[in-house]
Amino acid sequence: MSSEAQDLEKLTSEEYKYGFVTHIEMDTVEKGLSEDVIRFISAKKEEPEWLLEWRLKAFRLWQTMEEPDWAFVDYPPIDYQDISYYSAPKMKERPKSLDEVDPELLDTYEKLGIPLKEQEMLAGVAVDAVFDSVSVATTFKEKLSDMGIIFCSFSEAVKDYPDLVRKYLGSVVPQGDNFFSALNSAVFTDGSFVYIPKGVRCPMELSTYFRINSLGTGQFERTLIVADEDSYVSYLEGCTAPIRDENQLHAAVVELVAHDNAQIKYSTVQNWYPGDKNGKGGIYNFVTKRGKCAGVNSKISWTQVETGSAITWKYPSCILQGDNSVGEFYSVAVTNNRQQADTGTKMIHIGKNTRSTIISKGISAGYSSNTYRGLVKIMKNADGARNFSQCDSMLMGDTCGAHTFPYIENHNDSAQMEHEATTSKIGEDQIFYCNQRGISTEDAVNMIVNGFCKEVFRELPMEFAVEAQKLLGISLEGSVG
Amino acid sequence: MNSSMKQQEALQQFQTHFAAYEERLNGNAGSPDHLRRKTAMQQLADTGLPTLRDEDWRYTNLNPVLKTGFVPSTMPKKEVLTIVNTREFLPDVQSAARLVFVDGHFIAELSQLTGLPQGCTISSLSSAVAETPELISTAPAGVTDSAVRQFTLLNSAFAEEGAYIRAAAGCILEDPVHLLFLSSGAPQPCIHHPRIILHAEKGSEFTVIEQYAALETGVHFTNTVVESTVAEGAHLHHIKLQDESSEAFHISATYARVSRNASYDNHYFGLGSRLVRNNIHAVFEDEQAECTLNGLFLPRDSQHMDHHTVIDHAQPRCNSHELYKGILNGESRGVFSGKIVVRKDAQQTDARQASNNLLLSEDAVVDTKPQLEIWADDVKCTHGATIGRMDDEALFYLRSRGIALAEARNMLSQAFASELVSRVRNEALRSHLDSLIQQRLESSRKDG
Repeated sequence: MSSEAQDLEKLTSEEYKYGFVTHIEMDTVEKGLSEDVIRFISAKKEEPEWLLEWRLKAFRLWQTMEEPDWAFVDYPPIDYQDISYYSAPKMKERPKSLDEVDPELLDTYEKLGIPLKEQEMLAGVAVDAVFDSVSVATTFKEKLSDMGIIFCSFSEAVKDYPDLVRKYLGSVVPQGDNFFSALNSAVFTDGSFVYIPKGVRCPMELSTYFRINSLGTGQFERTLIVADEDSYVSYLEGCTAPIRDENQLHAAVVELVAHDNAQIKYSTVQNWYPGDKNGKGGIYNFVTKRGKCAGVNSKISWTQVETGSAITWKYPSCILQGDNSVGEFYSVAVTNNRQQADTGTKMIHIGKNTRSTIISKGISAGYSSNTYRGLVKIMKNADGARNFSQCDSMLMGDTCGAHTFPYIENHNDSAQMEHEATTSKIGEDQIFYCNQRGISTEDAVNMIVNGFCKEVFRELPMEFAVEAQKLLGISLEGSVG
Repeated sequence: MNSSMKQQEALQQFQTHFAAYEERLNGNAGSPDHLRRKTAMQQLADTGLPTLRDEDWRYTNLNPVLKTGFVPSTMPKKEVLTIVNTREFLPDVQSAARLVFVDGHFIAELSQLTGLPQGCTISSLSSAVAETPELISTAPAGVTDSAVRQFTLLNSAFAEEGAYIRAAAGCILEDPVHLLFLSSGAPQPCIHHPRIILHAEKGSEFTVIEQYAALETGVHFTNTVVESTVAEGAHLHHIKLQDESSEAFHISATYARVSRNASYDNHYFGLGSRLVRNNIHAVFEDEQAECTLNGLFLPRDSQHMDHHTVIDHAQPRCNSHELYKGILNGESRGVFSGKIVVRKDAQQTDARQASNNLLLSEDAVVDTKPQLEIWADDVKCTHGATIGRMDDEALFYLRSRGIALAEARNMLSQAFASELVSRVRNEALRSHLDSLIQQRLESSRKDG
């Protein structure tokens, strides 16, 4: 066995570093899904009648739908009756300050590298930390509310801002949009809500860390971000999950609405438990993310670094409705061992002079399969629409797969669109060049991979860029093909 | 479900035709040949005809085909045959042999099969089958993955006529073999299922021109299957020129198996038919083989042209090149779906694919799906797709030099098309193609 192969062996067999279980008593509902469970969730969360009806409508739609099977992923059928749809840390009342939060919980975040306690003083990042399904602590809320910015958990928003929630909930991803969004609409337990009023530029990056903790519970998050006219917001979402032997389902829905001249930047680092070397365990990440550029000159930008999950099924999309609106998608997807990813984006050009950019970098190693699937659709009236797509894949080893399935549909002759894709491996000459200059093979691979992903990393906010590079290093160091 | 009702009805109609066909067999129903047809029909019934919900058919609606009640084609009348001048379809192109079919029936009087070089077998399929009944297989290699397997099965159940070309080891045919499929514009919409079998044995080389043309306008449905095998060191050049009546439907499946050091190239030029669906499925069966797929399609009015290709790099060290271009006018719609599969261990594959589309009108639509499926790491695979209208700057450049707008547009379209024409080796054929494309572009301009 060559030294390179040994490195590969050593590094790709690295254990998942964020695998630990927090022992907190949970208030969990019996497994299974029925109208009663939905009523239970709704009652538990003291929701208004209209939201319960909304959930039930979604549930009825879901019952008529079939699970999609077109994605290039393979997994045993999911028993939706074998999942518990509600799980919340047991707590007498909501904590007023960080000091009241269960220390064990805070410790969990500490291990993940988001020291909540230090946040207020140091990081300047307001965190709406979601532990399983209920928001535990929210920082910086006051500072933001002075500016009229609403940043709170979804359940709070339902209570405090019912009109806003009612107006925008489901306006981008309707209940019956797809199988998983319907499921989410029926059973979502919590999430984040952001509203940026007219003319306000959010002064800090808003951030949520999602955690899945309880065994046998699915995580059904719902995020809704509304940027009113002339506003700007940058939102970070990060995910890690503890080690589990059972596959867990995560079916989240994220909706973004950008009005005239508004900008939303949404960044994700997804590092959920990918399962062990043999593909046992891991998270099923079936997420619907969609943004609507409703107003003129609006802009929505998705940046994602996907390194975790056993299966990723995710297509952050932009509906470019307002004239001159802009959609962007920057993605790095890394798969190793038995991971499977089918991810990409959809850009729907409706307004005139709408522009979209897609940069996707896929890296596969081990026995994994990594698919880019994207749609660019230019509607009849989208005069002067412009799209540029670039999908590059890198393969490490001869047992993995990299696939590209772009769909390009053009109904307007003045539109211009280009799609390019390449597939490559790390060149031996590149490694040799680095070795020659005293750089170890491991470091060389790291450098080359980081260079390969640079176009995406530079779109990430500072804090995330550092974490993303670290994650990439952990996932792939030494995996020289 | 309205659409699947239509599939059901159409399927039943095909089954009725098949039952009628069986009755005519008069005791031959137990023959292996017939059992094979029966199997194909049964498999088709099990699979069902595709709908828009099938991933491979999401851009092509078959309803116009399915709701037309087709009848099996009948032998064309004698007077139709007397007016046919086979030379006019491909003027100036010297051919080694010519097989002419009218409404799917082989017309010996119009064909020319004499003076063939030694080692070369060229005949109508019916006479080849008379000697070797197992020639028509139920399932050509690759059919199970094929997006048009239903139509291949339909062809397998009904195919009685077509062409059989076999070049024995080392046999090299300089001039192309011309296969001319004509439709007489029969009053009742008829369906025919030509089957073409091409065998290039070790070290042989030949060229086939597969041409579809109309004598009269009229509705008909051509459902072709081509099976080619290219043995070690052999070269097969396949040119397809499709210019059927603007009311016709055309579905075809071309399967190619390419062996060591062999090459297969397919050049497609699409002008005719109301709805066209072409499928090409090429598989490398051994190392160091090469495959080229080129295509040019020029739909206008409400024509719909759909092209699906799969190149299966099942073996290492093979090269493939693919270039499809569309020039779309009127309210036409063009579809391209190209897939390159690189199997595990197919190392050192070099695969290139490009789909470029030029929109000449506001109402034309293009859907393109260039796909890569890669399971090996030491490979070079690229694909690219572009869609857009004519470059304003290029037009301005020409106009600033005193060239009228219409003329400038014509020049640029012609230049866009010429890349594909120039890849055809036969010079006479090239100039014929050039003039056909020129005519098409000019007539579209007048319409538009």
